[in-house]
Amino acid sequence: EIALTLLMSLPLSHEGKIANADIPAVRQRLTKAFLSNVTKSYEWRKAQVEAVLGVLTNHKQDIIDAVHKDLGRHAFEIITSEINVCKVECETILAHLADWMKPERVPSNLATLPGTSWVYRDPFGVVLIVSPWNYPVQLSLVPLVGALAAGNAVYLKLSRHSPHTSSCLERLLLNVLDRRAIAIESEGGASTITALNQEQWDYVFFTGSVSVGRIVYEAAAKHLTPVTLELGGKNPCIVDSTIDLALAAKRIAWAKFFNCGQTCITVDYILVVGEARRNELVRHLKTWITSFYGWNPRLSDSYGNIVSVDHAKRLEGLFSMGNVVHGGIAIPEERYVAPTLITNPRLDTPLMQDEVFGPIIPIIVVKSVDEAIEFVNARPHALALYAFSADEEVQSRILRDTRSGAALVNECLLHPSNHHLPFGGVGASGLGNYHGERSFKTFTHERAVIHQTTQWWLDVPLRYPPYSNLMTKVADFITAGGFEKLAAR
Amino acid sequence: MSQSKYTTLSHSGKIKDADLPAVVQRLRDAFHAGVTRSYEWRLQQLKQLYKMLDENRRLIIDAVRADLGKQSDMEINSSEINAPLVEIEEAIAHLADWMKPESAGMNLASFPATNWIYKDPLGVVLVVAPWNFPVNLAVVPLMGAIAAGNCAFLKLSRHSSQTAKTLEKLVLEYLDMRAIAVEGDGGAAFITSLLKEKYDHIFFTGSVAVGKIVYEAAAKHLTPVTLELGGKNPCYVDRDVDVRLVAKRLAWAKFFNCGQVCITADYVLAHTDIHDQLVEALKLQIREFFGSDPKKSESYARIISKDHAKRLSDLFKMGNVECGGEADVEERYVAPTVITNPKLDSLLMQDEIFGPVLPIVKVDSHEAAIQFVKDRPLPLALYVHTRNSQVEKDVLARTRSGAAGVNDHIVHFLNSELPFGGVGESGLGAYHGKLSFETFVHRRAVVKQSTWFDIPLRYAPYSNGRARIVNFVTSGMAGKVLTRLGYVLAGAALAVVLQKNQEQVQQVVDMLRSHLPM
Repeated sequence: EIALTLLMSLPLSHEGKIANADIPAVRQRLTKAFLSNVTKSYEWRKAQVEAVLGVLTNHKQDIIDAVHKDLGRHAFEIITSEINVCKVECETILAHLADWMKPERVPSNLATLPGTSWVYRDPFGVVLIVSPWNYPVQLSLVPLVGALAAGNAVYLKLSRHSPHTSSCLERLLLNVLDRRAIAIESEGGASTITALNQEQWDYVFFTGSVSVGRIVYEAAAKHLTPVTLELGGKNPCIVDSTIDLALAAKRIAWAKFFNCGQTCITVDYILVVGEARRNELVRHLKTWITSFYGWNPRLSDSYGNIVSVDHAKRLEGLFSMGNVVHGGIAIPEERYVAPTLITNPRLDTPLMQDEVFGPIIPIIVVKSVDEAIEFVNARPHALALYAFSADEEVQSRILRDTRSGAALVNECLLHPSNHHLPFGGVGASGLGNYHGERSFKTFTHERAVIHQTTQWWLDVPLRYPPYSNLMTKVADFITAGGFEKLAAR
Repeated sequence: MSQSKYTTLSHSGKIKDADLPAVVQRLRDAFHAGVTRSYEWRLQQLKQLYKMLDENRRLIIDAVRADLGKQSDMEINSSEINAPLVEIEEAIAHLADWMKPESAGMNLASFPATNWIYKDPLGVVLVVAPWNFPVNLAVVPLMGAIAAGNCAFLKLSRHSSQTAKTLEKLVLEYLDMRAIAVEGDGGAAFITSLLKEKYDHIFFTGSVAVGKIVYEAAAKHLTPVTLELGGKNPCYVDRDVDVRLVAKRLAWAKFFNCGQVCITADYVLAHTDIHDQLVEALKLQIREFFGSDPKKSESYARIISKDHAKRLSDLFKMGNVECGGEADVEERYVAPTVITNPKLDSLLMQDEIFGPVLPIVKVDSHEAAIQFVKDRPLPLALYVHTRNSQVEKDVLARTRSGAAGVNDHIVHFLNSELPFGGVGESGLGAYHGKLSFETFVHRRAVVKQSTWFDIPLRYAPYSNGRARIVNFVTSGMAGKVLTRLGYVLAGAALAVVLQKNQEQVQQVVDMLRSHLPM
């Protein structure tokens, strides 16, 4: 009963909107909730994840409408890439949480016998999750349920750049989640991120741009806080001389114009071997674009919008940085940018220096796969690398000689759909990974625990001083693993 | 890209601050040239590392003793030679397995693609080692980095200068210096220059203060880190214990390497009921281990430097000295010292002691102990002595620490199945065993798709009908339904097989019937 009274007396993490000045107090209340052990039990964790699943199921249409207002996407895209991905993650957690939470017994060696060795799975404490606007449901809820499943208290910062989705999620989630241990905010901008960075969190999970990622990482470093950074980069797509160009073009076009190219793992630019192949690739791309979105994509309800007028203007500005061979139309006030193909992009321009993050594909001709590999390696590691080739040796060579968060051969975008695959970057594209059991592991501290006997007669006298020559020799044998080797024979 | 015969040595001789950018670049070039990639190269380096320690035991032990002063063969051999050898052996035995891509099965959305997790090396790794176990805490991380296929810059501590010189010489002799750079002379200024360069991973073992500096430098380059730091590791002794056994284990751990161990118990929280007995038992135990004059004992080590010995002797006055309380700074000797009623706001109870001084604080319950620990930074290790399983559960559940020991100390370091690392201010990341390899690889998701058919479902223009199908496929329901369908089909197939082989089935049934009582 004492525990219950203690729990009931905990204040909510916050009442209503959180202003920047409130953040320290909210953080403290979340810490208090964590230390009172509210978040530790299996029942609590299960209830929170079930609540999120409930929101996705019972308010599916509200969420679809909100995302459509922000990004203009067809329900098809929203269901597949936002709603269902989250549902499957929730279901995976619910199916396995009891197992994941259990302390794991590991073998003991002679140095630790007759004690037993264990790995416990402890939550970190209070976790800060910062999510972006491009997949505002998936990239907030999947980390959220991972952190809750691991038994943490959470401060969830949703992006103000997808205002309809963020405010919809804030409202729906605060209605069903335990607000003593969970805080959600969706309106603050850069100044809020700065204020959040001043606080000491037990873990920070950030999805967003490389530049803000660096700021978040530097702030976390001051507090010795562990982080996961899901950033971005220019994801290269290498198209060699052996692959069927019609198929390659189809899959590339699908990936590139999904969510209007506003996907961290989309194809950013193409390196194609040979000018003739480049021309043929361009022809196929044009065919598929028309097949997907018709002659005027502006009228297609399968084609989405750019998130803001500013971004649309930015993308419009990229047209002049090479030869536009398809598209090249933008109406920023409508947040419309046509699917655009650009050949001979100038390498020193933003088109080839910054992440495009829009429906524009620069296409570069290279003389060979080796040249493509060199081009890629001269640049920061990307989140995803795409290799289109029918030749297994070429495929292996590309995989072996490059580095990237993920790599796909003759396919695009689909690796997040398999929750057994780690989803994360390397180098400038990020650090850490999640999805499936890894979401749980990301937010868990694995604590080594030894349980030793208190029976005197089992206390091995060998380790204690005063040391003698004989003891030293025997200890040498044992600590060198001599016993285990002998046993193996 | 085959191994370039033009890859130069990472460095020849001493590395100065100004040389650093070039040295790191040469390591990067070696990595790009593929020097460290092959299984054969890695295996050969691991075997060389093994030989390096095994063939030079006396040399290494003498160097460590010169630095740490009069430490026994027993302690040095087991912690500095044998413990790393066991880790290296495990890596040699399992490297091929660890390197293999893991299969991640197939899933409906990308069918019929195969999914894999590749273990890609990161590139150039910086390993910074401390002075307290100057061989182990340098060699084991270095081994992990090499096993994972990286090039490495190994920075040894100048505070254990003899060991640094010896290891530097041995590394130059045994390992492939195109892919490895080693330095053991530079101090704080050198480390500052070192941290300006960009690495693909930084592995740092050392103090919290320097750990923060390392982490902040890494963050500027978006470099991932492993930080093995420290803290004040608490040890709670409950009333329900065998006081003599507790004293024995506690004293053994605390005075091993003169308390200069990051995971040793820093201070004790003793239940009022057994506080006095514990103090007496500790005094007795210290005399049993080290005799009446520990200065003369062959089993008792020394402090790393005069400065540290002075620092430790200054702690004596911050409470009641029960035994010890003597120091000979010139000889770097500090007696095994137990202090009761330590002043909580003094350095003795605020900073990590890292020496053979043991403060004991009285608490009147395990609840009080939990509260005491709660307000302090998270430690690398936490120890609890009790025979009461409820107390044990409570303490473990309501505290956080890198590792924990129930009724024993520090041995978790020696079990390579256990992750060795901190949490909060005591560090982040972990290693030992397979984790030593995993720490230095990037787990890269790889999807390999077929080109001979293409499922049209995913493509625009989107329609509601297609949306329904794809909803089914991506919702996880498909997986469940197909599994059930699979069972039904398997059942049907079994029924068909049984039907076709009625005679044989009958024979089997008769045979079973004859054996089972009916």
